[in-house]
Amino acid sequence: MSNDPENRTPDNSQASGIAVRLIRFLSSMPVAVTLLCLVALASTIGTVLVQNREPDYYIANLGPSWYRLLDALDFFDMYGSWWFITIMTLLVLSVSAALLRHGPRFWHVSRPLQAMRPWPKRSDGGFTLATPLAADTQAVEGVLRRLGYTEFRSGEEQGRPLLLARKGRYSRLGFFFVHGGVVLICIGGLITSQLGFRGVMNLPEAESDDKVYVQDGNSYRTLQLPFKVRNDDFAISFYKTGMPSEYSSQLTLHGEDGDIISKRITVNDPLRYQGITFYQASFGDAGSGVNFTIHDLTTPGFPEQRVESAVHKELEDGMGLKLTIKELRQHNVMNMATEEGKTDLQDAGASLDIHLSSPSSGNITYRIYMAYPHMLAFGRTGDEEMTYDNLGFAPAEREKLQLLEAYLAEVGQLKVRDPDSNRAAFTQAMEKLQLPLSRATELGTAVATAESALRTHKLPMLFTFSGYKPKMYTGLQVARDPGSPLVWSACALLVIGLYMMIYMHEKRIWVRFDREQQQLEVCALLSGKDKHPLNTTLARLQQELGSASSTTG
Amino acid sequence: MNNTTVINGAPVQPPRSIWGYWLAMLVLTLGLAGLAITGEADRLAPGIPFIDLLSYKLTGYANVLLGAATLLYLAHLWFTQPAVGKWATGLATAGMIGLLVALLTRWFETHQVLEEGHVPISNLYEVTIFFTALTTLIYLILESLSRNRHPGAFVLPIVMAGIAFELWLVSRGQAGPQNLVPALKSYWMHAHVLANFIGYGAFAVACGGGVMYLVRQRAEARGNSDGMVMRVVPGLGECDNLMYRSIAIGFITFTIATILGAAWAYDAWGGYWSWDPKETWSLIVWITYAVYLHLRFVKGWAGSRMAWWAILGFGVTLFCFIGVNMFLSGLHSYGQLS
Repeated sequence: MSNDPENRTPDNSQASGIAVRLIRFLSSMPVAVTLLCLVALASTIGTVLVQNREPDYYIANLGPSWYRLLDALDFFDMYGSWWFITIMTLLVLSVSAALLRHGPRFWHVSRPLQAMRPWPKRSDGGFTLATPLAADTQAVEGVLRRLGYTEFRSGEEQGRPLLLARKGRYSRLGFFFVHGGVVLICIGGLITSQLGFRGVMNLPEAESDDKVYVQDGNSYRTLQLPFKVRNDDFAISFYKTGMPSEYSSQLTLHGEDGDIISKRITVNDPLRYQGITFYQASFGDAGSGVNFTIHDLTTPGFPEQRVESAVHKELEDGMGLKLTIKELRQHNVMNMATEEGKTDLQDAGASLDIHLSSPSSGNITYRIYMAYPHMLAFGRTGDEEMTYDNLGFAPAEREKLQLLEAYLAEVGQLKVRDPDSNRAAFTQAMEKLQLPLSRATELGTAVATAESALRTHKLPMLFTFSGYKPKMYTGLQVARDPGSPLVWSACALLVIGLYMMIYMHEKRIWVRFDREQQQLEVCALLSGKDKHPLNTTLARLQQELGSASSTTG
Repeated sequence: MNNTTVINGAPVQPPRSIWGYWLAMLVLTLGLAGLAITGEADRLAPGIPFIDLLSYKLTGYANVLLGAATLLYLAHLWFTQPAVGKWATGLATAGMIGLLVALLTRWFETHQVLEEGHVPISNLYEVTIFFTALTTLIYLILESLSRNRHPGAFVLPIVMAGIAFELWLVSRGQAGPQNLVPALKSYWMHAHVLANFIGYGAFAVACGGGVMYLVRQRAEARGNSDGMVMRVVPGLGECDNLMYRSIAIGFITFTIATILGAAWAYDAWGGYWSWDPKETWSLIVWITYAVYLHLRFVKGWAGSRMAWWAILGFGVTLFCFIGVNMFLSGLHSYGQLS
């Protein structure tokens, strides 16, 4: 700060109470900078260490001893940990202390210009200009007024007139806006975290609910809304690539006495009601109905079993075999281009993922395509990618499947496999099923392809996907955020204050009129540490004074 | 009446107005973009490979111009004739306008090539072009104010590094226009990304100023008063000022960008702050420059410490810009490499 008495602080330098000393300590630059750096460093940890995952994830990645240590220090829910909250609280206290400490002084200089001040002993800049204006205080005041100076005091020093002009009286308020803004943003965040909530709600179509699941560390608690939410309709559209392009839900809030409000929400357009906001966050399968057929290759006769079930359901046969209906995909967009580098996107239609787990054949996930029943697609546990192959025919073609079984039985008795013995086995299988030899070529190709595929992949079952009825749920993010109006106002304050602090300055200019020498002496004081803007200010002033003298003189 | 003003014993030139010049450049950019778009209008069809797009070719030509500008700025350190500097400025301006025209063209192209068009600042390739254009623009605006062309030799190499990264992305096949995920379809995106990249660009210019400061300071310490650096690199005060002014612009726009991002997140994700890695890193960037401003305003720090701060601060900024997308996962994952 300058040595000018106008700027001298009516500060608490005499007072030495513990509160004052605490404020001085908290607001001191080393403490403030240390706290800022601590927040930055601590935040870094939280971005490198994935937050709020289940313990198994951490144990698998870090080992049990690291897990115990970091968990004890709350590193996995870092932003909610006591020590991070403590640092943030100290930072807010430090900023508040700075407001208390410097506030009075900045308020003091924001008052109107008091009495005339003498020519300063040390200025931030100035110049001397020979001009006939030296005799005309009115003209000089006019020039300064044109440059935005609003407050004037005039006096006399050693018989020479002296003029003091000031602008930017309120520029110091930027300090209050910025620091007050930061404190208010943090208070807004605190209000939200204490009085608000943020949870999820998965609503199947045509269903109603009033329970919100709120994450609490890595567990959940339920929260009851004062009304019910109904998902009237969920809609989704896709790009040609199969990526979702937009999804939306028609939501209706209703109570005992009927509907309250209804709106179609999309990803960037939520529904707000009584301080609670419903966001379109995700979507998923709420148990779509599916029909498929199981072709059991491990039982003689390759029996068929029709299944009518739903996604997420599990089927067990009581002998350790378990089928889980994992996922229904309505679209499977694939690049069908034959040339490399080209794209020819086509939709292969719906597919169903079924997970099979049995003691004899382990874990296999099948992907069955409705439009391509003869295609084999599956992955065994541990496989990175799916294996694709061709069965040669659709397993629902009973005739071919039975022929396959008969052929496998014949082939199983062979000691040596060669084209001739294969052909003989095939002919025997054809005869067993009383199939005309005229169809040998057609059937032979199909059965040979299937036999080779099954021999390679050793699949215990085949499936035929025959139909589905989609049932989707809409994934809602439900939040109550009572702190947000305060946060937004504080953000506006922060930005305005920053602009004021950086680009607005309190400028005071003294002009001394030397009539004998026909010259003006000018000096100036600028608030703040950065004196650079003064150069352009003075250059403009000198230019204006020059042109003013040429018009009057 | 003499026109040079002497203040505190040193000549100071009165500020000059640059509005007219930059307004003309804006009109030129929009006009050229209009031409490019009309030229391309009936040629496009969905699924056209991105290397056949006019915007891709324009970006290439603009990159060449910026490369030439960089070489000229560097040459200007040794060849101090004003013509060299003027050509450097001219080429850099042409390259910068070329990039902006390319982006505006691509904006139009996305509407032709994709099912739904969008502003082309939605993946890492596009924003890298935007970053190189804005860094050059901010530098050129500051240059037109200070009338000193030598700092270009310290800022344009950062732009070249950006271009190198952009070409690497092309080689990884990341340059094609892509469909937007639903969360990105918002008008907040335009303002948020624009403000962010003005901030990043300004911090890049400040980094150049920091390097320039350190170079000048080493030359002064060696005491060789008629070496190349002493003749052409601006004085320490001016370097410091370039740093401060860039960081001031950057800090305000970056603050606005972060607030806009929070407002957007409030509409799309249901909360203005989720401690997502990108959010957290933008807070870290904000703190880094907040500390810079405190040290300068309150402690009156200047000199090499602040120069290092500006350089390291840009390192933090770069991590926020690129590193988070490449190394960390989170809600901003659409900027990720695939």
